[in-house]
Amino acid sequence: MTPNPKRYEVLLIEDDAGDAELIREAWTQSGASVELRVVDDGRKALAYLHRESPYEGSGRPDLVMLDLAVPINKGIDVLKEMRQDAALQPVPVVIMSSSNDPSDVRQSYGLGANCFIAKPVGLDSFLRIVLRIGEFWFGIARLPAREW
Amino acid sequence: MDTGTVELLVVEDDPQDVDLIQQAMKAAMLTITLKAVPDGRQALAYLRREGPYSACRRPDAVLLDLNLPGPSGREILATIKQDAAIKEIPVLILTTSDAESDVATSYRLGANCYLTKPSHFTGYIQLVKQIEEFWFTIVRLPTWKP
Repeated sequence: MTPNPKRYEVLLIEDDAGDAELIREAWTQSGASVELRVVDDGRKALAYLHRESPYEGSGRPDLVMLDLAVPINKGIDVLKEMRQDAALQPVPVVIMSSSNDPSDVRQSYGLGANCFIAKPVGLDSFLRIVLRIGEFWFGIARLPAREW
Repeated sequence: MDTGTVELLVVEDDPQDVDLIQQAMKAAMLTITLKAVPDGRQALAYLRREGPYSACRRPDAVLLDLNLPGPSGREILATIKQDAAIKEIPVLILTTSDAESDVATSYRLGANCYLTKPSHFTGYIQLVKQIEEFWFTIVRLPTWKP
């Protein structure tokens, strides 16, 4: 990956502690300049994104990685709310899901997900996917400027 | 995903840019099927499979220039993303504009990503490789019954 002095903030919304750890490790090994924040349910995700207690000081993430199966507010509800909120609308959302159901893929795109990635198994596969996410979103694509 | 079956619709009024993309894919040895239309109205007809495009398959993704004759790329993007029948198709913006306002507006309107046009051929090769490696290898795209 091309060295880039900018530090990117990624919000990972993931309730599976094992998957969250694999993704954290993959970001570390990828060498990307990423500050990873992790919340484990949809309610905390929305509180974080709206900068509500206890996340008043949070910055707007450059990228959201969203598991569809998180509890309380489901991933799809988090996505819907983000796309209805003017401040959060431009933030790219990468769906990470173990679902193989084509209707989940279509629904996610229909509700404004930027892309849908099937969750892999094992650190090597997570690393390969995280590398590609970093290369594409932080190396090739232009991201919207942070507004806060 | 079997990249041999992937189809990309390029919405671009500059034939030289279409040719650059085509040549870059060839140089990168990618087997993506490229279809091109020169304006937004034809793009919508293609995606909706109307008129001369009624027998076309739905493309797996769209590469959309913002500056088009007739309705702008922004208008076409907004129309695609408000049309329940086609809004799930990923739209990748490819433009010369580097303006923050264009980036933010495109994402607000539902662009799946925003890419700037490279200034040289090598850049195009890199770009099409990255598109293939991300969108057509790692990403799961929506599928439709034929």
